[in-house]
Order: sequence, then structure tokens, then C-alpha cells
Amino acid sequence: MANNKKKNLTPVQQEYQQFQSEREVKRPVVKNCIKAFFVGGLICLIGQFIQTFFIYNFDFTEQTAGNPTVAVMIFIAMLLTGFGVYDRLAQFAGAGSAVPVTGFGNAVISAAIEHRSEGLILGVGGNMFKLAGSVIMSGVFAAFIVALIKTLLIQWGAL
Amino acid sequence: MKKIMTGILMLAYLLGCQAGGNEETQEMNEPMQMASNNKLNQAVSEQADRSLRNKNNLTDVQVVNDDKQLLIAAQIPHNERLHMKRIEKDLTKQAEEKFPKYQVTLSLDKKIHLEVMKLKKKMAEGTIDRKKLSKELDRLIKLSKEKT
Repeated sequence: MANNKKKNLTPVQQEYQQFQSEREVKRPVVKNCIKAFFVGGLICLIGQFIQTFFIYNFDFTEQTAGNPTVAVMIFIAMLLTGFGVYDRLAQFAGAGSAVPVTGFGNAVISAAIEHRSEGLILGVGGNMFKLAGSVIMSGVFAAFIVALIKTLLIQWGAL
Repeated sequence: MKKIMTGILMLAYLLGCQAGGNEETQEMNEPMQMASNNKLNQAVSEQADRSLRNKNNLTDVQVVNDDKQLLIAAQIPHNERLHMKRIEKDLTKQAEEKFPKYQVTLSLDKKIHLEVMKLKKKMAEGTIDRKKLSKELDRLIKLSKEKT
């Protein structure tokens, strides 16, 4: 906790803070990073295989093969979430399974499963994009800002 | 923790920026032998192949042409893929200067490279005529310009 916040606490609270920080289990941050690095890399490797498959077997170039690859990766992650496999993977890998696009599929389906008991429309339909909605919104907004900057740069002749 | 993260970021940055520096001499694949078929004159392609290979650091070049169009599919060393756009521009300029009579299309895409190799194999076997070649070239050029 930041020092300026600590000053507002009573002595008992400060003592408790001290007590707690001594006993709290330290997070193995470096270990988590390494796990996330390798599992995330593995997911990307699978994605690369799928992309190469599309390039070799269908009429997709390196430029255009990205779209079907993303769709297939999300679909696989959705299936694995439904079967309960992705949760175990996420437990082990943490950010390594949440940051790649497969994490998006997991976020959609896990929310849908969670709210299944509330009905199909208000439960599943209403809550499916509870977390993924913010991802989509941020993505669209970021794309808008980048496009705006690019347009301005082109207008000024910098690009 | 912050220091470790800063260290990793610095390392990634330094390693990433070094990629353009080292030039390796790549083993050059010889141009594929073409059947001497008068209908499909590929002399221009062979000339383009040789001149591009000699001047640039490329892992492979495959070229086909018909009467008007020249399609070049080149592959660059993996560590130079970061500068793909610039390299593509340079190579296109070189080819256009050398063959002003042809409409030059240059692609560094893997798919175009694969398709051009298939096309050349068909030509070597003699299973494709001039009309089909032009049609196939049009298709590949269209494919190489696709964005989405």
C-alpha cells in the first residue's frame, strides 16, 4: 500500500497491515511469467500451423490467412472451454492462455455457461459478452484512434 | 521486480533492432530448367531471375511471364521480414527499371511463391498453353493484391 494512504490508518490497522504483509504468500511472478511465455508461445505455434494449413490448402495469402486462423483458434478455445479443458490450462498458464485470441473465446463461453441458469435470453444472451464486450469495445475504439492518426499523418504528407 | 521487467524490455528492444544488420550469404537455388517451348517464351523471366538473385540477398526467386505481364515471387531471409515493405518496394523498382515493357508484379508472399512454383512445374511438363497461362497469371496477380 502506498505510504500516503498508510498515514490515514489507525495504529491498529497499521499493525494489521504489517502482520498481513509478513505472512502473505509471495506470488511466484517470475515462474508465472515463464509458464505464460511458454504456453502462450505454444498456442501461437498451433495458430501458425493452422495458418500454414490455410495457405497451403486454400486460396489464402499470408495477408488474408489471418482471418480464418483467428476464427478457428477462437472456435477451438470455445469447444475446449465447454469441455472444461481450457480452465485447467488457464489455471496453469495464467496470462499465457488469456492474452492470445483464444482467451477471448474462453471469456465468451465461460460467461455463457455461468449464467445458463438465468435463462437463454436474459441469462446466456445478456451476459455472454459481459467481459468480451469490453474487449470488443476497446479494440474498436483503439482501431478508430489509430485510423484517425494515420489519416491525419497521410493528410500532412508524413507517410 | 520493476528492474527485471525493465531489463527484459530493454533486451527485447535491443535484440529486435539488430535484426537488419547481419547479412548472410544464402545458398542460391538454380533457376528451374524450362522446357524450350516456343509458345511459352520465358527468356524474360530467366533474365529477371538472374538479375534479382545477383543483386539482392534472396533465398529464392520464381518468375513467370506472358506477353505483357511479369510476375515475380521472391522469398527473403527470415530475419529480414521486418523490413518486408521496403524490400518489396526496392525489388519492384529494380524489376520495373529493367523491364519497362512489362507490367511487373512482385510479391514476397509465401502463397504466391508456391503457386508460381506449381505453375512453372505445369509449364515444364507442357500441360498448359498460352491462354491458360495468361489466365492463371491474372488470377495470381489478383490474389497477390488481396488485402482481406
